[in-house]
Amino acid sequence: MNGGTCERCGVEPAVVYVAHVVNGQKTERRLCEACAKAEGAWPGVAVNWPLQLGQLFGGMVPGQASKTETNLVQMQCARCGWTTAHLQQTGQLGCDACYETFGPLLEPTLRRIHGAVEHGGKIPHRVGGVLRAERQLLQLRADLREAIQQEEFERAAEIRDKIRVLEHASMGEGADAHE
Amino acid sequence: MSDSGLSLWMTGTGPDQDVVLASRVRLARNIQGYSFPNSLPAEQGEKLTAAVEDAIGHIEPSWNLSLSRLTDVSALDRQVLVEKHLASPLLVADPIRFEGVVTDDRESISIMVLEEDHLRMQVLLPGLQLDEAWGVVNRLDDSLENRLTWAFDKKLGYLTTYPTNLGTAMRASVMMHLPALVLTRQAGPVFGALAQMGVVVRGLYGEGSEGEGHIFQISNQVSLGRSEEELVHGLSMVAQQVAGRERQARELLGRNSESAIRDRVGRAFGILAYARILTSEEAIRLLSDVKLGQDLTYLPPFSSATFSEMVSMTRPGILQQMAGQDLDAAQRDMLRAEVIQRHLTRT
Ligand SMILES: [Zn+2]
Ligand SMILES: [Zn+2]
Repeated sequence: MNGGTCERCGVEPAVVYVAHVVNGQKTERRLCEACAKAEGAWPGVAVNWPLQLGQLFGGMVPGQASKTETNLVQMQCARCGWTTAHLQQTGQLGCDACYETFGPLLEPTLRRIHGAVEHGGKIPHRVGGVLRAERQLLQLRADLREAIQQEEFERAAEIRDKIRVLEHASMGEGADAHE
Repeated sequence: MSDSGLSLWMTGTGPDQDVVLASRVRLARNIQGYSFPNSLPAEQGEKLTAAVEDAIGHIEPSWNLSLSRLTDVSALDRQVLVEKHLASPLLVADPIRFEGVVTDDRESISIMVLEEDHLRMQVLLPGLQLDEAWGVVNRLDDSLENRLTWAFDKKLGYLTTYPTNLGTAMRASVMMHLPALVLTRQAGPVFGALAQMGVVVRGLYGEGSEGEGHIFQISNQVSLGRSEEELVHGLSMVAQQVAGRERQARELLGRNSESAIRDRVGRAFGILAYARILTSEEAIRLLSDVKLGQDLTYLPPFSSATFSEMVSMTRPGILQQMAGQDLDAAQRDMLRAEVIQRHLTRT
């Protein structure tokens, strides 16, 4: 236990130091052999992973290729005043409207963490009526393509009817819908 | 908040409880029109908490929910909330008037008000019950939505303070007891493989805590792009696989190192049975060994207490709450030894 335990698994003794440099700031992590290998950091290869959420967003702002903050392109949320610097320091946003300002900046990070950039889960009832219909339509259209490909024309006709009904309904709902 | 006793997840029973101690599903929700907690002005915070209070007041009475403002909760009770996994250390440190915690009478539900997000609601159940926990928290989310409008974006899903929680804004996790994987030195490789699958492993009390008592929290990192059901199901499968590996490792230990393991768990039992002073670190370590001995049928089960209950009862805050008074460290160490002995079955 004299070298401490691995900072990744918390179990095995740490045998590797992995250094990571962002904007001139150096951070070190101590890992066991298995974890270092899993991170692609064995032997002695420097890895680039998010050490802290704030650093996660470092280097993604146009014009911020080099180390100093003076190159930073500042953006600001019109509603809460949150800036790119806030985002970089904390990894957080300041309000829901921030996503309109900073949303595009987040895409590479979202892709890296989630492997996706679009929501595929629950839709809230209050703002969701139209969205639910939209998602159902997408699904039905995919089913329709599949049915046609498989030459199941009876099924295709049924699906087409369902699509028509849904398109009608969502047009009516659209009038008082949110967004 | 229930004023005495322990939470359902500690005292109850559930599937796969020999390895999976508890399951939790948590949803982050922010309310439309308010800044996130990191930049919320005080008067807005007050208004938001009042809106949450109103929503709780109008929810079906069968939920049995009540909101406590953290400034009305004693330091000891705040510590107990953390030890029971009902609130985070971040929320209970330096409480402000409009921060709060909502719990139900069985303490299987908790909602943190104005932690990193406006609301973080969770359902915590004993054993491997992720689907069930998701079912309950999903209904709770629906019920709260009758009075509150969530910040939601068609493309990004539920909007959260940390962009890393976007989408479902859901974190599912299981608390697992993995002594045999650690003793057979398989824990490192197994956790490394999990990390590759977007599954995060932490110690008992979250970020930075180590695997005290061989207890680990395993949770999903991905929240965007997939449905809640898919994520919950995926983590359930992972938990079952890890549980399978742990059971194999226990068998292996029993087969290849029976004398050494009998010695180890017997020593742990002996200390717990006769010690008069026990720190919480020593207690959790020895309880973990005794539990392994029980799983291998070398030792008799605790009398009328689950392992989770035993571990919880030895935590400093819960111990003092059970004693009904503040105790200093020396007094706690003595009471801890006494409480454990009450639940050991001698052969
Ligand atoms: Zn490791
Ligand atoms: Zn903003």
